[in-house]
Amino acid sequence: MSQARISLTVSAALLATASHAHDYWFERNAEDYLLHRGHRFSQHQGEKEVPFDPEIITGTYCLRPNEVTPSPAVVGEGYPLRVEGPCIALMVTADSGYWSQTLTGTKNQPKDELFGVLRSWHALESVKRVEAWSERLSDPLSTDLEFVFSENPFALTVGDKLRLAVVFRGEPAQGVTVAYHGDPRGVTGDDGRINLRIRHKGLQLITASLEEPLHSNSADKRVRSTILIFEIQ
Amino acid sequence: MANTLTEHLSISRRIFVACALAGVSVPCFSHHGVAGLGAAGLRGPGAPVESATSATLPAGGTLAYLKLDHAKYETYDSDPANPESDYANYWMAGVGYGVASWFSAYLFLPYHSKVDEPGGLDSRGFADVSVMGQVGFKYDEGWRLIPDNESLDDLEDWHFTLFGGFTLPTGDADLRLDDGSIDAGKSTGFGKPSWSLGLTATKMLSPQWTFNQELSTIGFQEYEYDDGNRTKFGQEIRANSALIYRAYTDLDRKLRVDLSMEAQYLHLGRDRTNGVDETATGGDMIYALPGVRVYWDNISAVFGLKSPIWTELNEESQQQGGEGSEDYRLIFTFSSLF
Repeated sequence: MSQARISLTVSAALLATASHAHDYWFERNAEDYLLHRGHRFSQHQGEKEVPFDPEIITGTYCLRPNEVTPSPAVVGEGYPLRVEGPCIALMVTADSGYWSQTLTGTKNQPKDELFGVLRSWHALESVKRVEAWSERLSDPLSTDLEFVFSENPFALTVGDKLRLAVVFRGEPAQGVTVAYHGDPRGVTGDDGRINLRIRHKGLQLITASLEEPLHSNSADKRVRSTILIFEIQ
Repeated sequence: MANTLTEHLSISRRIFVACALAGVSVPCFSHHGVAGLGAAGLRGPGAPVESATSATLPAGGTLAYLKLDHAKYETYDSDPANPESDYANYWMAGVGYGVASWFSAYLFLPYHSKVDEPGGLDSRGFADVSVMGQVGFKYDEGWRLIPDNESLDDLEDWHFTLFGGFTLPTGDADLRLDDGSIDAGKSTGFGKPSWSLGLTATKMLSPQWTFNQELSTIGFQEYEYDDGNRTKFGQEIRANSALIYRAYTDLDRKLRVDLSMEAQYLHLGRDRTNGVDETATGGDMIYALPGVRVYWDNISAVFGLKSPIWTELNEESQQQGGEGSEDYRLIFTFSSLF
């Protein structure tokens, strides 16, 4: 595939994904974290906060200081969702169900319950916040779609290359579109790897998505998306 | 004879450089521009009109390429009894294949048509086939071959290629003109293989601007023609610099438009006939080549207007019809990557 084709594919896929994905992000609250959902970073318009039912959470993975195996984190109730810390890295996975885009808006319902559906998808989402470096972060914390580091990202400065890999079920995920602050930058290779350049200090937001056809009356496809958040001083 | 010899050099130039690398002068490669070449993509580095670029073909990718270089020459003598070179069309068809992400192979077949003013001696026919190889490498916290997969951020790194090739004497070096004579400069072949070697460097200066540099040379062997004359064309050395500006991009339509400006320096060595330096051959010149490249899906089309802006030919007043004495050259290339 030509570079051009790659770029086009990436752009198209990312734009498509971005058009129907929510942002998830953590805010620190003492040693805990508050998980929000909405449109804080998205390129598209939408409600700033889109509360969710804690029932959509399918897993929490907290890598605690001096531990090498992530353990589940206690979650609270209500919104924003409180997740117990502290964690060197925290990942939360969610199944937000079926979504359908209609002429009157996007509904959190399967397509067979609505009329005039333009497109529909099953959304499986995850968000990972990394606070500090650990060699353990070279491996995934979960079996869902997830970013892993090839090197310590906190040693990087603006202009450096951030070398990442996307893994799914513990294996390199090929052909996954990756964006830096919403800007599609490429797709992962056979080894799941992709390089991104650090453009600024502060919050770093990297997203990836993977689509697969879904032979179901409920949705046309399944969209797996993941968000990686960390800060460069 | 001298004039046509000089022009002959331009033929070879087109064969090697153009082809091989071409945006190759690459016109051939630049097409990477194809959304390909140069392409590298709708948001990747741009490619000049004619100079070789540092874009390699994707592994397993095939490039189809077509180029027309129409050269219109200045005329020095208005006497119809003394016809001069009027124009020439240099066609080039080529195919490239990405053997690996860091190695591309190309095959080019040129067709030349050289037309004199009325009463002159024209020639046309398929010229020597050329074979080119291109090795791509980059600097990314160390030297490495071009990897299989690069993000837009990777494409911002310095990229380089080394390329080399040779021609096969498939053209007719001993082509007889209408008067029965052989004019080496109007022959459609060199008679013996010639060789080329070059280096390119490419850098995205910003998301919109790309810098490209080509350094290359072409060498020839002496060939004895059927009329008993032995000719060895002078070596060619090129230094081509280009700036490319991504002026318009529509991701939804897979459309991109680039503006390009090239400055091409060309040194032509003096030809030798029967062991003696040939007068009215060789010299130095600089061309300006503004152009526009359009990418659409996996297709790239380029148009450029090339003209000499500085010349120091060895015997300029006698070198009508050769490189450096053009009124202009119109360059059009079309390439597709699949």
